[in-house]
Amino acid sequence: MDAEDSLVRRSLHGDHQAFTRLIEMHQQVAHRVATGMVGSGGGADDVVQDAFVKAFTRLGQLDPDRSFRPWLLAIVANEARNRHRSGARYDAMTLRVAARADVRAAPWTDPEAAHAHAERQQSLARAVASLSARDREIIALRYFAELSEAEAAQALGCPPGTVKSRLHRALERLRAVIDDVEGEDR
Amino acid sequence: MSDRHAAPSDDALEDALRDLGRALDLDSASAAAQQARISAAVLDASDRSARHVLGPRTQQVARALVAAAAIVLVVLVVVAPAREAVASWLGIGAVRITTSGEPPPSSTSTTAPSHGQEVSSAEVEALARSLPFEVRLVDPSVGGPLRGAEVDASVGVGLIELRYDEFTVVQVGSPPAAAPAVGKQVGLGTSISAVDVEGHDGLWLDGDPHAIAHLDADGEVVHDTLRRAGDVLLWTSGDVTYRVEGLRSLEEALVVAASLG
Repeated sequence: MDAEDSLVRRSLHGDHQAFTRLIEMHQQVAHRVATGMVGSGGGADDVVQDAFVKAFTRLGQLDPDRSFRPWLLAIVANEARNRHRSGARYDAMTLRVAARADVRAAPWTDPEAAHAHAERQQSLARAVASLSARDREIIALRYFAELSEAEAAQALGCPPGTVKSRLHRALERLRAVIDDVEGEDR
Repeated sequence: MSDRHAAPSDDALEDALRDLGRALDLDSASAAAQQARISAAVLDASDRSARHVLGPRTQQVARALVAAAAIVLVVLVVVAPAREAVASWLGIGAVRITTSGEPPPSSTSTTAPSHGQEVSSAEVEALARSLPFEVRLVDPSVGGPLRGAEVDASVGVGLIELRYDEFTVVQVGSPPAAAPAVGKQVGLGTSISAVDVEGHDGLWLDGDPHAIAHLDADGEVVHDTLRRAGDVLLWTSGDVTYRVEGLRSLEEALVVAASLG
C-alpha cells in the first residue's frame, strides 16, 4: 500500500500523528504554490496554514482513488484565490527568491556564474509576478509544485486538455514579458 | 548579447520555472516554524470540534503532534493569542520545551551526581535562604534520605536541586512575568502528556531521553549546563515550577509529587 494512502487512511481514523507526517511531506510544495500565487510575505504562510486546517477538517471528502497532493494543492490554490479576491496585494516574491538564490548558488566556484544565475532567477520571478493571477496559478501548480498535467487537472477540477491550453497561453505571455525586458536591456 | 540575456528555449524556460519553484522552499528553521504554526492551528481546530480543553482527545492530539513534528514551540508563544493556551501548556512555568527531529545531545550523563551524604532539612533551609520561594522536601518515607542539595541563584529567580537515591526534584521560581529559565529539547522518540498533579496542570515526558539546559536572560542555552534527562514530571504550583526526574513511571512520580511537604 502506498505510504501516503496509509497516512490519509490513518488520519481519517483520527491518527493525528499521521496527519502531521502529511504536513511534513507536503508543506514545502504547498508553500511554493502559495508563494507563486500571492507572494512571499505573510500572506503565503497564512494560505498554507489555512489550507492544511481545511484539509484536516475535510479529509473525509477526499476521493480514495485520488492522490492527496493535488487535492491539498487545490485547497491551497483556492485559499490563494480567495485572498486575491479579498484585495490583498501581491507581495514581492522576488526578494525571498534573491536571498535563496544566493544560498543555492553557494557551492558554485565561479562567483560570476553564481551572480548571473541569481540575476536570471530574480528576473524570471519578476516576470512571473507580472502575470495575471490565473496564469500564476497554472505555472505554480505545473512547475513550482511540479504536478503532472493530470494532477494539475485534478487540482483545478478541469480536463487535462484545459491545463495544456492554459499552460500554453501562460507560457506565451511569460515569454512575451521576458522578451520585453530583454528588449529594454539591449 | 551576453548569456544572461539569451532568450530561453521552451525546455529551458520550463526547467528555469521548476528551479525557481525549488528556490522558494523554506529553509529548515523557517519550515520548522511554519510546521509549528500549522500544527497549532490544526490542534486548535481539533480542540474546537472536541469542545473541551485538556480532555483526553486533546491530550491525544497534542501528544501525537508534538511527538511527530519538528516544532519550535517557543514560536507559538508569539504567533497568536488563540494559541497561547497550547504554548503555555506545552511549555510550562519556568520550562520552555522545544522539539526537534534531531536526537538530543548525548555528551553528558542522564542523572545528576549524588554527594552521597545525608542532608538535613536545616541545612536545606540555610542553603535556600536566598530563594524567593519556600523549598518543599519529599516525605522521607517516600523518597528516603536527601543525599544532596544545590542552589543556583543565577537560574531565573532561583533554583534548587534536591537529590534523592532514586530521583531528583528541582524547584525553580517562576513568577508569571519571568522568562523561561530552563530549556528542554525533545526528540521524536519522546512523548508529552498532559497530567493533573495535585490539582495543577502538569506534563509527563517519557520515552527517549531529552536534552535539558539552563537558559540565560536572553533565552539562550547555557551550554555547560546541557545534559540528558530521562522521564520527567513537570508542574507548576503558585510561582514555582517543579520537576521530578529519574523515575520510570508516572505513578511513582505522582506519589513523589504528592509527598512534597
